[in-house]
Amino acid sequence: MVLVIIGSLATACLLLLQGVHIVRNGNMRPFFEQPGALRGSQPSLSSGARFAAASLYAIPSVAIFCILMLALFRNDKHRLFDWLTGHVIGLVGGLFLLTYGLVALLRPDVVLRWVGSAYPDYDLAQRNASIQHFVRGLGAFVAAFGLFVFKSL
Amino acid sequence: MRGGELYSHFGFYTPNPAYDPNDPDSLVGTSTSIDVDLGPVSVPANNGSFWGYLASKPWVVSWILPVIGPVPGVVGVGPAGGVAWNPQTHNLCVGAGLGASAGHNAAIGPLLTSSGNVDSILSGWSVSGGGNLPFPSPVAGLGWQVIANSSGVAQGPTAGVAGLSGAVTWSACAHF
Repeated sequence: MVLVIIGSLATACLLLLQGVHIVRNGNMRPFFEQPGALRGSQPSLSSGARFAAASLYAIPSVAIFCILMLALFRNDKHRLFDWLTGHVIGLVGGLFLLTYGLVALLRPDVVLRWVGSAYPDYDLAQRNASIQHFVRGLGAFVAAFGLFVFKSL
Repeated sequence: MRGGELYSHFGFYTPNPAYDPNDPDSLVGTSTSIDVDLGPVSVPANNGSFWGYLASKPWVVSWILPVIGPVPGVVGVGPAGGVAWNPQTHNLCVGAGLGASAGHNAAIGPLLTSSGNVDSILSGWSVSGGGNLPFPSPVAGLGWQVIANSSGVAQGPTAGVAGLSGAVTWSACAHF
């Protein structure tokens, strides 16, 4: 159950981010594409197409939030809050690992910048594809671990 | 509680029917009581404070040496290990294995929750993973760690080098 709820929330957040990205940047590129890769790309969608494309992502996202809210209000809220109180540490830990893993998976350059701040004497060569693939792999592992934490709650 | 023993206090009061309020030597009544020793009591180690609570939890120090990889010493694969101490059971566990890391080569922190017996989770084969943010400091940022095996999942906050890591280790434990 926790896995379904967290998975739905994560999906809704990612869809919403992509919708906002399309409205702001006017193109269909993924929101997590690195800024360097976007250099030189111009908005390719007209304002009407931009909002139509954004709503393709935003509407399912809002629908997921609505379904979760409806399910919350139709069921015993006290039981949910009791459960949340009893599992707050596990939830925080799982969310931390899931978020950190997704950042590493989608934006390895951000994690490499963080790592580089601890090792200023190393040239981490953030454009090096093999390092980024390695960080993506670690990110997938840590994100999966975060989901595993939710499953174990 | 006296001298580590818990006592239950029982008693009754008998009023003096001849009590004279004008006589200062007159007794209002007499009380009789006994203390029943209920046995020894252990005082909780945490004493209710936050630091006491943390001190009562198992602590883990983990490390990875990424000697092979894109940036040896920082990003890569290599030997990994850890030391864990459980002050409640006086179990010391030492482990070694293989891990992968991007930064995050050392971390320390308490295991605040576990879904099973924490000593069983810390002993034998286990998979661990975690990450630290570069805040408040890149070399001692805050993060989280999880250790899991067939006995359950244990997790808690950490302080360590910014980055993320995963490892598979085998630990031996001894009771002190």
